[in-house]
Amino acid sequence: MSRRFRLPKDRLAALAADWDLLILLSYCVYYLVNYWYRATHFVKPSYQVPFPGYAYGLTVAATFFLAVLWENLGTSIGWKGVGLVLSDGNGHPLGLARRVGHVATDFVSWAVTLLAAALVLAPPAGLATLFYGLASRTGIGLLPSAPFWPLGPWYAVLGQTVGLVAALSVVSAGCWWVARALCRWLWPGRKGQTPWVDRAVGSAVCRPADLESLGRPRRWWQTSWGLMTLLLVAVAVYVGALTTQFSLGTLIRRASSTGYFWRRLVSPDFQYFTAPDPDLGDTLLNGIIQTIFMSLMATLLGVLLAFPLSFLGARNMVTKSRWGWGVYTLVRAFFNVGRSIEPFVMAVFFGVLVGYGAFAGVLALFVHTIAALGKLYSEQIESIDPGPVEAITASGGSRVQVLRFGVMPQIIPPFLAFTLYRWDINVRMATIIGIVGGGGIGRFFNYYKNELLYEKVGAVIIIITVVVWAMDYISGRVRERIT
Amino acid sequence: MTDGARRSPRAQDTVSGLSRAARTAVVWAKRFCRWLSILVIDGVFLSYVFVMGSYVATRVASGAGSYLPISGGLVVLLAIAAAVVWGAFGTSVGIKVVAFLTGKPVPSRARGRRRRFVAADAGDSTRIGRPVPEPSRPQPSKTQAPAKIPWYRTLWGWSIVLCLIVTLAAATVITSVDFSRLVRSFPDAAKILRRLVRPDTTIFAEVVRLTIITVFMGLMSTLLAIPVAVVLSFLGARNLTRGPIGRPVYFVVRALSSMVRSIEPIIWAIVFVIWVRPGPFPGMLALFVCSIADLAKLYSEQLESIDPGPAEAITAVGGRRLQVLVYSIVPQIINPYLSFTLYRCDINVRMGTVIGMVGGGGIGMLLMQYVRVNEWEEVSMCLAAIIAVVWSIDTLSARLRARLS
Repeated sequence: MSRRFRLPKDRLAALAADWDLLILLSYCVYYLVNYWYRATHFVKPSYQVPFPGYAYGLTVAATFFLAVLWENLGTSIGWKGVGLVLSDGNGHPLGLARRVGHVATDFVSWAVTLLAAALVLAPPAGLATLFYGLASRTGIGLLPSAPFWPLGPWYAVLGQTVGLVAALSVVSAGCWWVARALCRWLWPGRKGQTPWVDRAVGSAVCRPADLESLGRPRRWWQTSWGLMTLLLVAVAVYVGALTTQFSLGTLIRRASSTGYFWRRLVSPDFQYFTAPDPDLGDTLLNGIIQTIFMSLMATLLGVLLAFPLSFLGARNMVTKSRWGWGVYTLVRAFFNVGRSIEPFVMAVFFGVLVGYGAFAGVLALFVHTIAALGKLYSEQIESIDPGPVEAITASGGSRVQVLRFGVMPQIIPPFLAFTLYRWDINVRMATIIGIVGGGGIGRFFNYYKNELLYEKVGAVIIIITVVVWAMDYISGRVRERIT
Repeated sequence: MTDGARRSPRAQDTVSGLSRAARTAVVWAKRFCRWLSILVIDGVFLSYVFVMGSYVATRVASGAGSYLPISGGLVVLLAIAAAVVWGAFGTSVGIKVVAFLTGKPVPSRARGRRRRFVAADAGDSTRIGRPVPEPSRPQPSKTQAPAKIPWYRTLWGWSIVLCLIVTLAAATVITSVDFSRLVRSFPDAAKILRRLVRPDTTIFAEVVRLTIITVFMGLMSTLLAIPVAVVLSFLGARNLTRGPIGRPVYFVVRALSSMVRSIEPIIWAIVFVIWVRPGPFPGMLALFVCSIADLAKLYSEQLESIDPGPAEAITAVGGRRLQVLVYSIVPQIINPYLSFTLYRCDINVRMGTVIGMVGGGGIGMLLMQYVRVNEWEEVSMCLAAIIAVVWSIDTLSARLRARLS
């Protein structure tokens, strides 16, 4: 028992991928059944075929079993993705009979684990139910009432789910641990063999490169993963065309009726480029200047915050203590969440807070810039050469000296390049952020579009194109020189 | 080239093969271009500092300001005069910028004089008769500055500092940055945040349905863009398009793609919403157009950087054009192409979440609808779905790309 317990990450990821792909496929099937039913029967467009409630649960379970079967009997997309194959332990592909034995052992062991978990869990679960029932009936209990919690009605659902999942995983992990120890004691296995499944059948998991090929390898369209990929792409395109209401007919039919729009769009009217527009009280020139300065301000402020935060979000900079780890996780989560929400959405939020205008746009771009730059910066810090840092530490340098002379020289040029790149992107985003009330040239765009002044829309689009293109070019040239 | 036979060996080793007069002309033309670009950069720099500085000054002093307190023509004239003087008698910002961008230091007359002075001073002892070994005293080359002056003792250093200060002040004024407003709005923010952490679960099914539509929008636009972008990438690769037809095609493809990329998908979505009615279809079309332009650029840059060796080898053993393509070009580009496509798919899903806000369908449409009426519980449900989808697709695509490269 000297070896540490190691999660088989790649195999879990492969299983998750396979399961998700099959769920996607079954979603498409459900969608198509609904679609065909609606197409052939006279029902309203929002009609849903009334599948029984358990059908969905059954689908999820069945796709899981199918994924396991697929992984054991052929090369699944997930296994192909993480680069694993099933061999017989001697460097040859596994035969069909042993593959069947493999999957049977897998299922049996899984069923045994589940049974053991259920047996161990049953008494405490019963006790808890009894206790909870008593508490809820009598009104006496240690659990606070639902409205106290910030999640409100989610509290009950969340609590039950988390409790069940946690209990199941703890107990089954315990069973697995014991079984594993027993297994290692009974069969000392080879490399790449999972505790009992592979040892019982005599198979092993290895990389494709370690496999000795017998004869000509199969072409990709002769394998199960290839065929499955083809099927998935075909179904996704078909269902995608249906969900996104793809129709070339609409595109062509409407092209003639939008002729006036195109004619006016391609004859731009630069009347208000330098003369102030009486309705908006400003010129387009001022609008585009404001846009550029918005992006500049957001980038500068963002750099000021992203720079210190990136050190907290770099794995090799935070201490190995529990606090360090917590800070790292928090900062990383902020980076990921901040990047997920587009500034376009944030501008609406800040517009409500500080009033619609350039400041709201700056704030939205600022928050997004912190997250995006912070992630880029911290990845750069994680990939520095540890040599200089160790050298300075070894010669007795303080932490500040290590940062100044070991870390800084390595990260300054890429940081500058990232910042320029970010400024470039911010200019792009600042041009449109005015559409939702963020100030800049987007304000003009939105106004002219709503007033159907398409000549002026054309002018705005040309200005945006020129400015964005110029920024792109300049930032590209300067970045080339820096790196 | 009349004196081709009597060309000196020095002239022969130049690749251009021009006569001496022509070469001198080229050198002088290059010098003139450099001088002109230095002048233009200095002029723009000086007028920028002046215009923005006066704008900030009037805005701070009187509350309302215009960019130009004096006539624009006068500003330009003054800037040109100042730039000429600066470029001739000191190290101006323009000289620094040109030196940075071209990677070669710019020799200036004023510095030349100083160099000569310094050299005479240093070389005094050698002239008296104490020979110094050659390697230990390298002669200052014509293009090298004699001594490195720290930036804070130069005019260009301080003018860049001044420019930064003016820029920061102007940016603050123009974008009306006022953090006290943000602080004052904290009570409102707290109210909204309190509502944001209680997502409304009653719209869960609708949110899931629209999220799936958003994901399909991203997938569809990427899948449809691949074939178009692949064809365009071959037309937009510099090393594959030669000759009188190929070169113009290359320029047209490159120019179109960079023009289309300059316009954000949101604007494309608005255009397509006017064209076909609001719904997921115009959103998909907008993403499709942007994906084509972006992928064509990435693909063709990849094509330009392939190793020509295998292609030449297959041509040499008598392979046809198709065989060259299949056996030498495709194996080199397939992995980067897949990686770029995954990256673009990631971006498309990300953009798909906001494209609905302007009528492009998907989750953005629902989000905008609830934001308009300040229903923050519903907004938070939509945001949760967006974050979950974008995060997972981001992670997945990053993992797959790491494996591909």
